[in-house]
Amino acid sequence: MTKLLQWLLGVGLLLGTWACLVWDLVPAQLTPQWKEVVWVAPMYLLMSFACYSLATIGYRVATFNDCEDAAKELQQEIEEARRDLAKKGLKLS
Amino acid sequence: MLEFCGVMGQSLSGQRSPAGEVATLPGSKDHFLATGSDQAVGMCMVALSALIFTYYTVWAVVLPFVDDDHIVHQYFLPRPYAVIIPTVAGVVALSAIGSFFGYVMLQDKMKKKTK
Repeated sequence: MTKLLQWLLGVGLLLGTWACLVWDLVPAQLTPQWKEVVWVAPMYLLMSFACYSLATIGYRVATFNDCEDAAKELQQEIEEARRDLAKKGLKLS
Repeated sequence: MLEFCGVMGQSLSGQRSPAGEVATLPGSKDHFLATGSDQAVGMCMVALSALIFTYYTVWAVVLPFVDDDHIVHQYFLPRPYAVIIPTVAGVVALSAIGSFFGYVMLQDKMKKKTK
């Protein structure tokens, strides 16, 4: 079974359970408070996923490793290559 | 004389390397943390996501179990908004991305036509 089918199956199961619980298709006795929580559950999961993504991206941006020496060296090499090519008649604008 | 626009169109201001020399990389210490502004932006995103997550968790999961006359309820909008606001925000975000994408595609087509 492909990954897509697995994911769709999982999502389908979750949504099915949610639908059964919210529209009283199953004889489950839920207190009104829990019913409220279940009703919002899919949106809550979506929001948590969005927050997790934002946090991961932010954290990776903050802890990204800059290599300043390598950057300087690269600039120097670019300058050298430029001069070398200019000598050989290639104009870079 | 050949002329072409490279990606390195930005000016390499004032960096003159001595002819023929190449700077050597120091041992293993050429890794630094991201620059200040990058760190600030990253940490702001983390803080923002933590804030949104906490607020939404309290709103969606905790509030139903809190008595109706508790003072906390005045800090939160009525419950249906907990679904409406993220949906509207999602639709707006998706349409912004979609229109940006369409705009870029159109630009590309126009450029190809005039060539």
